[in-house]
Amino acid sequence: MCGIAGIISTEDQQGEVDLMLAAIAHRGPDEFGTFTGPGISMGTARLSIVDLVHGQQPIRDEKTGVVIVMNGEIFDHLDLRKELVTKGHQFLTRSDTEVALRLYLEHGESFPKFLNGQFAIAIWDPRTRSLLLTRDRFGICPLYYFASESLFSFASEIKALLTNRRIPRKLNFRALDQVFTFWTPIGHHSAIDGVNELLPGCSLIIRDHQITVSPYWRWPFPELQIKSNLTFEEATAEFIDELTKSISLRLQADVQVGSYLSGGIDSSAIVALACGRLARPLRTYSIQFAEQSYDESPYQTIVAEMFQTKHTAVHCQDEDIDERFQRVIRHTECPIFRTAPAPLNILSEKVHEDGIKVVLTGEGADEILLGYDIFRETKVRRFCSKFPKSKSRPQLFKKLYQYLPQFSNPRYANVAIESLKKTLTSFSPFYSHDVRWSNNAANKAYFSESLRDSLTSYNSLEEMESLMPRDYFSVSDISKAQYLETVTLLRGYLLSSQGDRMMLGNSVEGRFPFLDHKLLQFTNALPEKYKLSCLRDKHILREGMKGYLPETITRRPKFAYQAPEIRAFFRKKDAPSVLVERYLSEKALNETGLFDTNLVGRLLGKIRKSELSRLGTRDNMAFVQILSTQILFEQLIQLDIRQEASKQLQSCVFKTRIYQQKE
Amino acid sequence: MNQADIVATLLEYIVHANPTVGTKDAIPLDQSLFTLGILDSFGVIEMVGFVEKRWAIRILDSEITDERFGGINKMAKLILEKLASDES
Repeated sequence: MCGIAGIISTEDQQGEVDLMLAAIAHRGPDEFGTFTGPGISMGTARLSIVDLVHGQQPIRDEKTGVVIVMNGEIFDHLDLRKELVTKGHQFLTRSDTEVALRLYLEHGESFPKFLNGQFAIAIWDPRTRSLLLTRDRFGICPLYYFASESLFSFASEIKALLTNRRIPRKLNFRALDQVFTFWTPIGHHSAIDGVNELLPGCSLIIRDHQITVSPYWRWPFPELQIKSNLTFEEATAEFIDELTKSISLRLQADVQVGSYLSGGIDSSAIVALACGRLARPLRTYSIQFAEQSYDESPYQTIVAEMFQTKHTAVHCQDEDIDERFQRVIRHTECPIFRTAPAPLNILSEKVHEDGIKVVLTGEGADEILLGYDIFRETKVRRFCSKFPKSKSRPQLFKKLYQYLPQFSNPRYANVAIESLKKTLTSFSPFYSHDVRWSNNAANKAYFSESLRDSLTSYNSLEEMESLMPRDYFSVSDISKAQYLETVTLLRGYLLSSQGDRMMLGNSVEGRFPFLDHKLLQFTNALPEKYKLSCLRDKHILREGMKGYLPETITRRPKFAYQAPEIRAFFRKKDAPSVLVERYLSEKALNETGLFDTNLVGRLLGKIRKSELSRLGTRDNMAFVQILSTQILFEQLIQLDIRQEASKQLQSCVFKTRIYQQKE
Repeated sequence: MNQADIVATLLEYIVHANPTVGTKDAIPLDQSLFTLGILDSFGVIEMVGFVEKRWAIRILDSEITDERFGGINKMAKLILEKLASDES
């Protein structure tokens, strides 16, 4: 992958773009390149993966003057190239970026719909003096923009935009409200006011100072698909075949591709199917924890040994999370609710040290194959509301949560059942997520009075409702839940804060075989029971992998990847992490003005007095959210990002400079 | 120990357990703490544990319901019943 940036302005654009690229040099340290024309400049920080020698960016079509910069990969570029060649296109490189450029020349602004990949692309067309930005369907590659009367700027990361002193730096309070409700910002919101995220599956065109954003792809709600009439056995065989194709496409690279291996069914399936396509042993990477409740190493070992991968396990200690956390937030550019991104940043650092630039990873399986407990919970709640006298109600709830460690305490099931009783007959459009979001929102009590005042007229649930596509309101609760998980947790956290940012922070590209839109279209056309069979999640994957993986993996209950939270920062009760003093002291809290100093002080007091293992999700989440927001404020609002970028610029090698002097 | 003493102890516990509850006065006595968002399910379990330890009584799983354990006054009543039955 790479980092891209650009600016439409009357002022020194090239100098500005150089600084923007320097700010995101970690995304693509191999080489830098820019294009500068009248009123526009854009460029790339490149991580060379395809056509290492001739794949420099930007690429310009000499005949039309159209220029492209791209972050990401077009996985079907070889097939697209063949088609374009038959239509008379001549290629100068082997790179997929040139394929995207020529596809634009062939099809115009509708070209993204032909791409299968993960990408953020900018194309400048001097013929129409228009700039087109487009982003992949799931939001794997990030893309942000800022627009004012005299300036339009875009970049892969927010910090690149903030190198420009003409872009105001103010935290987006609505996004903060959203993170404390949904765990992620929603819609176009980013952590900075006025900096927008281009939504996945959308293109933005700026022409004559007019900006239009339109989707080129729509979420394939199951109810709107032509129903597949395959039997379960046929569907399973075809699913494995499609997944294998998706993996094969994502193994293509001119550099070695490795894989993450958590020990769960998703990454194990990827490893199993990828190994069958490779001539040499696959390099696999895992995180291990000393604390058993987080650790999955026995399962990782089973799969690594079975497929004789060249396996590397990185041991993550509590102190590693503490030491890494500030850097993690510098990369997430968003408050987070768990510390789980930190170990993944440590892992990608190891991958980078080993000279591996690309890893396959299993995100997306839980969304496309209904793997999360929220889907099962929704199903059980609806069953119970439909059959209020059913004697199986308590058993269903117990089965639902049996895999959670807290359910080793049988009381937890009763409390959960009791708590869900009142929600069974709700008609909310967010039936599946209401309980979670309402629990999350309790931590908004930590907001300072001034922050609460500025949000009095704002209701994040209303905004969420306004963002739902029309079809959303007519589909089943499970289909709604699948969509909500995809546009919140997957896009706003797993692919960004825990995905792209943690990997590209160490110049490593993640590829996601389960997030292939053709695979999603296939699975969403299948009957729901093929994926969620009674309460068995990812049924089709578990059955399909029986011939490849042992039962210890295919029958393994879901294990939620998490990392130590409060305890990582309070290893010694009397001497907590330096981050606690630096960011959560009364002085630090007063400086940002975002949180109630008294209440945060009480939270810290509770932590100091409590046995850490007895602190619940709510306290852990509040601590991580508040700490990450405080660090974020320093990183994005207080730091002199421009000066940092200027220093970084000295080590950036600009290999490509393209100029267009006249129209 | 009477109902008022038990209520005072329970309120003290909640103020400690939930940092966002400012003062004891802010806690309604007759509403479900779970519904109010003052306790989450983990918080309920912790509270049951506290009650059992503090008064040396046993709360049955079937008693952890909105009807029996849903508010401070209901909890105090349940605790008093348990204490009385222990004495008899």
